[in-house]
Amino acid sequence: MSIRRRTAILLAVVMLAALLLVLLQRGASEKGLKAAFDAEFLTRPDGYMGLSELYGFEFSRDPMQMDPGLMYKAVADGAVDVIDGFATDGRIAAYDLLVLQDDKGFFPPYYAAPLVRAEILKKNPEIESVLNRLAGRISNDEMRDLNYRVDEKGEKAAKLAREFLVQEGLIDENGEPRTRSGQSIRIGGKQFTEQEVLGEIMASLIEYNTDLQVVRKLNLGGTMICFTALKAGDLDLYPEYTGTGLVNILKEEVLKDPQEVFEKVRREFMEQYSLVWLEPLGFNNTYTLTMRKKQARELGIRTISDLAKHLRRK
Amino acid sequence: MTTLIAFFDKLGPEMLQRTYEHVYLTFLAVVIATAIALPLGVFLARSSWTRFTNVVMGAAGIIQTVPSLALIAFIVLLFALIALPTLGAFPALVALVLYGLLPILRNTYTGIRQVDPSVLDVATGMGMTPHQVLFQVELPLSLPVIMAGIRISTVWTIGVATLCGLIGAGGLGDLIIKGLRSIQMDYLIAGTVPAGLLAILFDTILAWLERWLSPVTLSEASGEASA
Repeated sequence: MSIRRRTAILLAVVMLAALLLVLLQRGASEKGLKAAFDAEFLTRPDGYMGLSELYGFEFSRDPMQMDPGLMYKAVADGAVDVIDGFATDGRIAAYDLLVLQDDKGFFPPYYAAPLVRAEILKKNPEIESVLNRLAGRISNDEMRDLNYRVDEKGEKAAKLAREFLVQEGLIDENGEPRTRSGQSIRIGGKQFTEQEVLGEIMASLIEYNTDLQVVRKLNLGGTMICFTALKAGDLDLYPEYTGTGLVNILKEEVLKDPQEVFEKVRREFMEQYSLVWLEPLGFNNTYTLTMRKKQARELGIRTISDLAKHLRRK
Repeated sequence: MTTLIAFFDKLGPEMLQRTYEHVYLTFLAVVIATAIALPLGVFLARSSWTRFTNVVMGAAGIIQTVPSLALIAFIVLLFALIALPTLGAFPALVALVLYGLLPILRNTYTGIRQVDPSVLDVATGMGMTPHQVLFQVELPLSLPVIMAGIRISTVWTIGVATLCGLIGAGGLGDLIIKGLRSIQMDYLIAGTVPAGLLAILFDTILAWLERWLSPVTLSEASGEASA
């Protein structure tokens, strides 16, 4: 066979294969609601797998996996129809999205609280009282507003955190960070805006009220990365959510009473990992299923059960 | 054995789906990159317009210096500005094609340039047209170098395509990100092993294609004759 003929055969085969791939892909993108969830939601027991099982639904096309920062824009622009929004994300209101009601009570409460190594508290007991000044200080609306200002207004988390502390009267407007003792404390955080804001708030509070030097390790890859690092002593504290501790880390059954969840994780984390939950900050950042308001209204969907019913009809 | 069964039970279907998406992204990206870079490389090698050549090679080189993650983020931002889809396979493909261009372009250019000028003189002296010189002398003689470029580009693209999971394009990166977010070894293995196998498979196929497309050399020909 001549080289020329071989080349022609090769070109034909490559073109055919490319065409086949494109056609196959086309065939896969059928009609129906499209979902996009972040990787953590897709792997967690309190995430998609458990949720779809309880409510009994599935999407005609497997949910797309997407970075949590991109989901809100994607659903607002209509690239997808359903996302796993975080309840305190400011973009839910800003983009006119609707949080579907969790009518079967799948999600536990997710109250944010500082999670600290017991060893660090023993060495620096002042941290506990300093951080507990934040107890109950941040409501859902306030957290949403803080997130919104970073995500949409482009404000810096560090500056915002100091403004918040001044406004709450937790640090003096003209105050300066205290002189450093040379001892340091490492604060971690997961890779999304709220965790960065909370990390900065806790960091500034410690810097203005103790002699400790703060090392910021914000924007770590996710819950298990933070938790593993904390357990291993590579971090000293990070903000965690009670429901995440209960279901994702302890692998316990969902409880609904916020106080009960808090008591449970406080007890178990101390016993199993020597980690201490300080007082919750006040807001509940639960997972949600979130859609465009307009589309939800057109389809008559208000609860996750409505969504399940709609998906089953197809 | 039971762990293996449990592994495939949990992740088998998703592994298949993600591998398919990965092949889809990689294959199309390399085909498109080759379709652009190969003719361009030939044109640049044969043109005497040095400044243009330098600009094109420089541009391709600069794209390569952008970290792959940043290139994907950059495409997303750019597409958002000009109202093209910022999610899914399309932006991912554009990023992969841009990233895959340079090795093919550079190797095609170098391959054609390194053909012995005396061979070209002989070809022209025999009365070959420029078209014949290109297809019967230059391209066959530079084939190994060009194919090496395509092979490098393919292996790179398979690696970079694991980042496309971040923008909803699917692929084996989805499994790797899941493994990282949840610190679960089985997800990491389910994403990494197929990616490695794909790289080996594609490279082997390309090596075989290279031999299949090479002109029969004198030694092989005489070997065949004596057999």
